[in-house]
Formats: sequence, structure tokens, C-alpha cells
Amino acid sequence: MSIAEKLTTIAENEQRVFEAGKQTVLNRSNETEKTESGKVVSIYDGSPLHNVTVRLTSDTITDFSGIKVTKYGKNVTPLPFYDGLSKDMLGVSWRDNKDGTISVSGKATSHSHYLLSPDFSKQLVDGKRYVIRSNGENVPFILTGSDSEGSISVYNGERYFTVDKSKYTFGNLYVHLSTGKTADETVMPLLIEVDSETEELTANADGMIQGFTPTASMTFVTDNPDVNLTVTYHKSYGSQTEYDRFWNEYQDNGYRTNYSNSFFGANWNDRTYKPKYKVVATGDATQMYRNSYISRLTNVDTSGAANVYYLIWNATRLEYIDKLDFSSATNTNGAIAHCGMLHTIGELVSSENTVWHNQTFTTLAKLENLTLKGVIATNFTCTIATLTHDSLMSIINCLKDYGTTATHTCTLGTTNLAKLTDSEKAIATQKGWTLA
Amino acid sequence: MEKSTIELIKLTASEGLTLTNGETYGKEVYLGCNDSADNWHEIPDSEVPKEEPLESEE
Repeated sequence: MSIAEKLTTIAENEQRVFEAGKQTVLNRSNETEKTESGKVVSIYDGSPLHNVTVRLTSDTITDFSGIKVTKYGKNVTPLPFYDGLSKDMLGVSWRDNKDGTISVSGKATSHSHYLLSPDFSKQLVDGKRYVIRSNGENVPFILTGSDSEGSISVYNGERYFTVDKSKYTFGNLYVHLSTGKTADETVMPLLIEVDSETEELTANADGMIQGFTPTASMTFVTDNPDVNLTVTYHKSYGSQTEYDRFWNEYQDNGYRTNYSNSFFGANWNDRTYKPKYKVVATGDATQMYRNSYISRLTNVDTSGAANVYYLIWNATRLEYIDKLDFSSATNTNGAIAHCGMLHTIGELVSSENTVWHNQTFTTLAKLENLTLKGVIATNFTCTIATLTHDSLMSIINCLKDYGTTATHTCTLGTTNLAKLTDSEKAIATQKGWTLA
Repeated sequence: MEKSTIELIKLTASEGLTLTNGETYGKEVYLGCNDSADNWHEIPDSEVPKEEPLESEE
């Protein structure tokens, strides 16, 4: 075989290997088609090997011909925002709508601002080009820097810049309302990586966009406020592999039982908390979700955990828990506390073994729905004044019937006691419980 | 048909005072069937112990 023939054979073999690998990825990705919708759609785990479809919908537009959609690179707008779900400052109310937008209303008595990130430099890549965009009429989107040029700011439009960390670093990223300005609007601050794949896309009459080059991270933006985007894509096989690798390790292939401190801190949020396996904390659940930014907790099993100390402490964005099982819990101090947005605990299981603490439930300003199941056998305190009548009755009905053998105390507080009739209170007192 | 009357004994603290049995504190108390008013007494509101401090928020 001549050298030329050998080279041809090698090239053909390489091509066969490449095609085989590509086909493997394509086949395995068939099961991972995903859809994302919104005014702005950000994809972080797309497969560049599969076609992506963008569909435009609207309540008012029937012919989408000519409507533009821009495809950028990675959306690096920091979520969740640093200043939390709500902030009132100098006459202005700021609200995080949890969809990437911020509502702002009021008149600024002085400069009022809402901080998206206090230290944004680490999220920007040296040498990369970015676009900073805002749709705010009155509310500029500002990225402060330490260079001589000062901050980068943009009002209701966009500005491009390239990061050069040898000359400057960026610090705060925020939106603000100037002194004397009045606003009642929704702002969508965006900071997006701009790369060579940035494309202007045009919809057909039916609102379909196809045939462009997909990349792993994509951000689709339309300037038409009446249009909603739905993007269908395939999750990257590599991304799925990385997800599996991380969660297999973190959850010990589903066999992890000690979850003490496991989801502690604001870096655990709706974007990052995506456990592969059911979270079964039969070992230690101490401070498991403390200070986290997760908004919904589901599919968590603490039925075997003796220690749930500070389990969900200061989880300021938590709104909903489907079920918690404290049937083995003997240290419940501060277990559900300082969760200002929490409105529902669908089910809370107690047993003869559960040792309730007088501060198991602390500072839960919005908790209305709390359904106790099982048996409450030790002194119980829950003075959350927002609890519904049904919630209180679920507690009353779970109190163990001590007959004439013992006295225990159930402390609900004056406000909650006023929600119960005398006959409902008598259910507790006849079982040997004093209500306070 | 069986008709029965269930007695509900309510203790109410006087102005500026709080009821306690040494462990539990409240402005009003409905006694359990095995409990007695003798187990409860009034203390000034200022003497109600603060909740034991939990670790401060971060």
C-alpha cells in the first residue's frame, strides 16, 4: 500500500469513528428533547448536533412574517438576584418576578437601586464580548467597573463591550431609578455573551424559525413585546453525562443518607437544586436547606432522620413544601424557621417518637396551610398567627389521647385559639391537652 | 341518644400578667381534663422569659 493510500485509509477510518460517535450522541439524545418558553429564552445545555425550533406565539399577532428574533450566546444575567424577592428603598418598590424580570414602582426620593450581583467580575470571561440590554424606560441597567471609564450603563437599549481584566474589573451589577424619577414598569435586564454565532433570525408567517446553527448556550430575544417564544431543542448528551456524574457522586448513586448541610446556602437555588435521586435523609438532616434559595421542596424523605435541627432555617425564597416526615425526629429545634415566603406545608408527619421543640416553627409570616398527620405525643408549640382553621384542626386531631393519665400542653397562641369553637377546643382538652 | 356536657375551663390572665405552669406561657389557657387551675399562676409580662436565642441568621 502506498503512502497516499495509507493516508486515505486513515482519513476514512477517522471519518467512520467520528460518524459513529456522532450517531451515538444523536441516538442517546433522542430522549432528552426539551422545551423552554418566555419573552427571553435561555438555553444552557443544548446539543449543537440537533436542530432547534423557535415558535412565536401571540394573543394579538396572526401573521409573524418579518418579526425578528436575535440569537445570542450564553445569558450571564445572575439569577437569583442578590437583593432578594422584594426591596423598598427611598420611595421605590423593587420586586423580583422570578422570570428574569423586575417590577419597579414609585418615585425615587433619592437614587434607589436594586442589586443583581455585588461581584460580577468572576462571571465575565476575559477577552469575550458582551451586550448589556435593558427595556426600562426610566430604569437603567448598570455595570460598575473600576477602570477610568467608570461604569457601563444602558437605558432602554443595548451596549456592547469587550472584557479586558488587565485594565479593569467589574463590581456591582444593578438597575436604578434616579432622584425624582417615577416608574411603574417591568424591566428585563440582560447581560449576554456575544460570540460569532450571534444571528438575526426572521420568522415565517406561521411564527416558525428553523435552520439556524445551534450552540450549547443560546439566548433568544425578541424586541416585540407582544410575542412569546417557545424553543424546542435537544439537551446535550455531554451535559446529561455531567449531570449524572455530579449527582451520582453527590448522592452516592442514590444511597446517600447523611444530608447534613448538603444544600446549605444561596448557591442552592431553583437553577442548581436538581437532584437526580429522591433525597432520602435517613441519617442526619441537620441544616440541610439552611439559607438556601430554593422555592419549592418536593420529594424529600426525612422519615428516618433523628436530627432535623435547623433543617429549613432562613430559606427566604421557599414558598412550598409538599411533605416533611418528622416521625423519627428527636431534635426539631428551629427545623422550619425564618422562611418569610413559605405559605404551605402540604403534610407534616409526626409520631409517638417525635420530640417537638417550642421553636420548631419560628417566624413564618405567611404560613397558612400546615397539615399535621400521625400522632403528636409531646408538648407542641405553633403560634404562627396566619394558620387556617383547617390547619389548626389538623393539629388538634393529631393530639394523642391521654385519657385520664397525663397532661400535655399544646400552645397555639391567643390569635389561633380565637379561631376555634369551644367544642373544637374541647376535643383537645378531653384528650388531656391544655391549650395555651 | 346520649347527651353530655363537656366542661371547658378557661383561665385568663389579668392585665399586664401572663399565665404559666412553669413551662408554658399564655394570656389564656384552656385546661386539659387532667389539669388543674392550681398548676397555673400569673407572673408580670416582663418576667416571661425570652425565647432561647437561636443561632443568628447569616
